Amino acid sequence: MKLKTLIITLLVSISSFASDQLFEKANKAYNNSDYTSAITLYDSILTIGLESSELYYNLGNCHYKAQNWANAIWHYEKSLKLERNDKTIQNLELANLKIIDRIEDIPQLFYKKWWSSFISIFNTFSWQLISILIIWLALTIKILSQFTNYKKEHFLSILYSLALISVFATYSSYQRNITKKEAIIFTSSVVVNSAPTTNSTNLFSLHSGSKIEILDTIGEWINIKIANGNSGWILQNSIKEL
Amino acid sequence: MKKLALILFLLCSATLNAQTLKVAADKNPAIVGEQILIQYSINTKGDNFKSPNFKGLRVLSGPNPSTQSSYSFVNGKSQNTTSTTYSFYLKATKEGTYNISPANITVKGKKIQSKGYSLKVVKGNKKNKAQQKALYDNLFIKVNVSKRNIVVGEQILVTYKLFTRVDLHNTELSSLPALNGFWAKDFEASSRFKRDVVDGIPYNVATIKKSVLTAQKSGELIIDPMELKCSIRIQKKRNNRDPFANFFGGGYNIQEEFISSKPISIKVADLPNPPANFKSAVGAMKISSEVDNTTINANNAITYKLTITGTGNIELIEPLDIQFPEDFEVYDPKITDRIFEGGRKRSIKTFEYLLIPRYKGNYSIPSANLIVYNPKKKQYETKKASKHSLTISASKNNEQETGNTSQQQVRAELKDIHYIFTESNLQVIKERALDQKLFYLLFFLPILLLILLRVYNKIVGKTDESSSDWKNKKANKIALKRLKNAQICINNNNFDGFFEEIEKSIWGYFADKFKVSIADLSKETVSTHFYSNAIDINTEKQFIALLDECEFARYAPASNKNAQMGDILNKAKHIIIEVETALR
Repeated sequence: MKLKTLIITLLVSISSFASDQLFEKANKAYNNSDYTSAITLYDSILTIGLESSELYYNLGNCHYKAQNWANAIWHYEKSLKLERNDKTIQNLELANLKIIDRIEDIPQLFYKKWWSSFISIFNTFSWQLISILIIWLALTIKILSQFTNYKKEHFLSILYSLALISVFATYSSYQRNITKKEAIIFTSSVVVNSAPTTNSTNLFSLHSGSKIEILDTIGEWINIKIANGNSGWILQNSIKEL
Repeated sequence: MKKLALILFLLCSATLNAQTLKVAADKNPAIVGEQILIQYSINTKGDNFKSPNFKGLRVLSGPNPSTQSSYSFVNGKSQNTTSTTYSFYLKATKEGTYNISPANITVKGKKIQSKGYSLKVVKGNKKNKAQQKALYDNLFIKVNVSKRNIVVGEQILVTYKLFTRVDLHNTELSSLPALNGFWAKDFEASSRFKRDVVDGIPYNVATIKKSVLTAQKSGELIIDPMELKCSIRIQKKRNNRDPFANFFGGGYNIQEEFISSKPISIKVADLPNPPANFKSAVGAMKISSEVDNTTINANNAITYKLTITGTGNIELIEPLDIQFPEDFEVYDPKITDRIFEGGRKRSIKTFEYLLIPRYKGNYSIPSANLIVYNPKKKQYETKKASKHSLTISASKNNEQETGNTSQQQVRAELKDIHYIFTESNLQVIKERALDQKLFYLLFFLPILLLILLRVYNKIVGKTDESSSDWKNKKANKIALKRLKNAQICINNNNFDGFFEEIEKSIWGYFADKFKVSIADLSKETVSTHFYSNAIDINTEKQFIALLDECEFARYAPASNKNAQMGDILNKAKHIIIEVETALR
């Protein structure tokens, strides 16, 4: 058993050494404006099985420079899934200016905005850890106070409320980052139908680079929703899931 | 009756006759190249004449309106007649049948239409043709183009010359050449005739138009023909019978002829791989720059002058991109040019920038670059103006510079994407969160344990000490709330009111707590309720004592009223807390 873990760690460390070299090489290619080879180099790191928000960000930059807007947006979004970064958000904004569709968000109520910015302070895993740690800490303190005269009633009630907040945040974060499926449109133009059949009414059309949310899948049709609240059905082969 | 009808009919026909627009030609059929007169006439006054469509025929002149009026007085009856005629002079260039569409005129608000007219044009006989040819040999336009294979932006000189051997009375431009794809610049041409000999035949030659064309797009561009309307004086055959006519030189006929130049095609090639900052300057140019002042106080103006000299499409050069320092206020340049022969001769164009430095320091204006394509050498040349370094000293009126109000904001516009990350912490691709089931297990397990712990405590009967603390605090809070009014009385030194309030509060508390109606309030009910709720006997005694003391104090106040009030308030508070804790 020990040997097996040792081998795995060894393999990972070797591959990470190789991938670091690949990363540097790709950065050099980017500096020399050789974006196509930079893309292949960065992609080879992904095929090794490694990823990072920076890697996706750099790939997004390469695609941006190569004017593949849909690919650039896809990689920026992917990078944001792993870690929120101002640079990524700004680059994504620029890339979104280049595409055909301009989808206005539905304005959110102020408390929803606060809540969503609050839950994006940590990623889902951190929120899960925080909630679990708080509740176990509360339990430990409670057990300690059982056997000693160590009274921490106030502290405990604060911990309980914190646990309550963090478990809600965890739930929201999980819904937003893990359960919610999003995708980017990759075909240059796709017609959104009102039902999952080809002869149904055409509602509107979307162009490459637009971000959509996947609500449902029936066969090769997917039910999508865009940021302004409109929804409809499109074929699965026109998107790339995040 | 019959008579009346007849008169009416006559009248009607008369008015009908009066209102027809007649059309007539002086000759039909006509000969190609001949002048044809077509007249539209109506014997009344009309207006708003709408010309017909002379498709295929050339209108030499017209519509020329003329009105005739006559007034006659016959047998005591006056008659007034008016007729209007619109005449057109036409010319056919090709034989065939021409259908002229109807013309319109409005008479007294009524629209009247003429009939369509069919005009036949036949070929002239040999004599006519020979005449025509002789004419075109003696009267023609020649176009000279300086170059026929050029690149976009290159200039060519086009000269139109009129060669004539006939007696020209008048010339008039009837259609200017359409210069699609060219930017044309005309310059003065002398219309004076000079004598020139071509192939041994002397001609009178006049330069009627001279322009410089700059090609704006690539491909085969065609300079359309120029057309000139010439009036030629032809001497009439000598008429010996009229000596005066010959004497006064009146023996001329005016003949109108159209002559046109031949269309010329120019091959325009694209510029070979234009560099990034190429501003489509083509020719041989030089660039220079000057600054009127290199050391100046802040907030004073500097003039930066950029001069482009040389030949080529100088007139079309737009202001260059010059990277002025960010702290300079830059105004739009004043552009002046002196272009000679459309840029074929050495011309000058200047851009004068007004710069106002706002802050002191050493600045430099980088050299302005002009990329010129030289069509002779067939290559791009980069012409550089000189670089200028400026020393700006502090402004004299200091408050203008970096005052608190006019601080410079440092900001970067979101113009390009941010640079890539050079380092990265690469990790194995995996799900970046715990499974939700596992999470709920880990989260709700301790909660379950906490609940179990509490249940266990309840069963074992161990008083939750920590919770008794909590209850004490709550009892205290209730007491304070009950005695709030009494506290206010102390603050206001309201002695009588205080005892009343204490009594009211205590009794009110008791009544609320044990759900006793106000009518039943007595010391007996106090003891029974305290007993049944297993409250300490001491508390009951204190309760009764406090009420007695209040009653007593109301009628026999102590010397130190404030101390007494404080004492009683504390006692009341104590009692409420005691009861509250005992009841749990």
